[in-house]
Amino acid sequence: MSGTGWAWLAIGLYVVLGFAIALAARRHVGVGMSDFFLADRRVGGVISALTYSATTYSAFMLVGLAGLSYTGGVGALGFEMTYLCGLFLAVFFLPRFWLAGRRYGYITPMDLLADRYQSKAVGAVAALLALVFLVPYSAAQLLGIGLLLSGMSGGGIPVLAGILVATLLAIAWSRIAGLRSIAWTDAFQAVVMMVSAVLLLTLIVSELGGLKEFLSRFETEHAQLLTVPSGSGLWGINMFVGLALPWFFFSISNPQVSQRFFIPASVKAMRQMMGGFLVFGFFYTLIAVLWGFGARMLVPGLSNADMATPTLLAMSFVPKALALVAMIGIVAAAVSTIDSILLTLSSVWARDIYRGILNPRATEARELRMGQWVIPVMAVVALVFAWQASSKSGLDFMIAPLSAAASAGLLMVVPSIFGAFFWKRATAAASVASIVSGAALVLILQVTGAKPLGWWPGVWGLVLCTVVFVAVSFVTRAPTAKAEEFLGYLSEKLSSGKHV
Amino acid sequence: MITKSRFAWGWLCGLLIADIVFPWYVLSGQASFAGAFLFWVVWIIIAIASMFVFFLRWRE
Repeated sequence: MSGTGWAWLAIGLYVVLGFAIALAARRHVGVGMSDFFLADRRVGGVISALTYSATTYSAFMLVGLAGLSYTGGVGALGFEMTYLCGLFLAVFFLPRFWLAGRRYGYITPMDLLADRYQSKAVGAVAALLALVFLVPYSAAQLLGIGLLLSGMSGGGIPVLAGILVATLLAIAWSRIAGLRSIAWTDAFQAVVMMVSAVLLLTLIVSELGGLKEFLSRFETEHAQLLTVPSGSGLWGINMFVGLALPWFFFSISNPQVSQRFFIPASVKAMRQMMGGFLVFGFFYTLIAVLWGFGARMLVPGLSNADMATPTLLAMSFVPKALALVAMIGIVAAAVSTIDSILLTLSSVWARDIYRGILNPRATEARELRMGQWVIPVMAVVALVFAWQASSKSGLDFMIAPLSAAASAGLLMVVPSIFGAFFWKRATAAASVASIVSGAALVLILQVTGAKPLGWWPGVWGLVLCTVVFVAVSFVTRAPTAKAEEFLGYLSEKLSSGKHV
Repeated sequence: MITKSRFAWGWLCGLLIADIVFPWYVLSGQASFAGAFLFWVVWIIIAIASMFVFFLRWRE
């Protein structure tokens, strides 16, 4: 059988297993928005941890981060570990989201903001922010799959075919049973991601003479990559902060992730979700960085670092079966991120834009149907975006710029989230003004490529939206009664639950 | 309650300051795995351990 044939066979097996799991999840489906989009807030700790992990870690890790490690060295480790440290924010926000979600029935993080600030406009603006920045991010994942499959099959699988397969899977697995099918398939995919990454790293290390020899040789041959800024000067402080800042706030700024804060069945499940994700994240990050270091030694001189992983997988010492498992692991990482984003965006569309603004009298059944029907629409938009991007400049076009732009844009909701939970004086007008002004600045800086004082768009955007948020809050009227009731309830519950 | 919360925020700020100061200013001349690489591995283990300390206390 040809390489293309084996690749299709591996994809076929992955698809069949995924569908079996998604269809099994369908047996548990109930009715209503909460059931479809949040699995009725009754997800166990292990599944919560695995779906959180699979949603968070996309194709970026073993392609983009491995590429960053390949080019810039240890700074990539610091950047991704800083992201993981950002989970410290969940120590404060996870119990708050979870408690508020149960008491007030929130479906999306924007729903929470709209109610807390007593303004549908806040929910709609935050929803539009997510739509603007997450569709290109999904497209980047789709394109990554297309290029990976095309690269590994020597062009036997066209880029568009890979994009189409991933799009159809994301639509199907999110439509079949909503969050239930996504959480279950995510759990399966998280296992595939970790197992394939460990197996391939083991092979790479073995090819380089064992762990001790690998580390020793890397230290001798690429010592400049073990400091920051590296020999190439890639990891200056401005770049590090510019990349790491949006990712540090990822757990509260990205709705497909913060929406997961609503789903654990109990406090015990919340603890398991946190602990499980932290352990997964630590090892997956370490593997991705060492993978990049290994690629630097085995396939030096690549002009495009994002090709390090596909090139490595095509090397003769990698058994075909293992290369296929690794390929499926990366596809799983991307699909598990895309389908979660699609589901979140559809819930955001249905709750915060359709019911929040367009048709406030809509029944829950109609709202749910709107959400379900918009899933393929969002997927097609992402597909078209990915297809357009594929004709430009390949991986160089997608991984870093689109991921950075998405996370920097979504960062603009952070002051509003802090205000909602920690500042009675915060107002709806301040929230809208800070999101709009910050997002506009980020878009302008991203499009023009400008970095005043060397600071990245996300840094400037966060400074501006924070200043605007505080200033406008002082000159506009806060929803005092709601703030008192909301924060009073949380304060009481947090005290009795020993939260900080 | 307030003291514990403030301690948690302060601890997080301390972690972030160390995240910049050690790799760029203290260990910038240490071109080996015993430099920034080891720092970030130990640093995140400490951060994760401290998160465990906080969230393992959560009760229903």
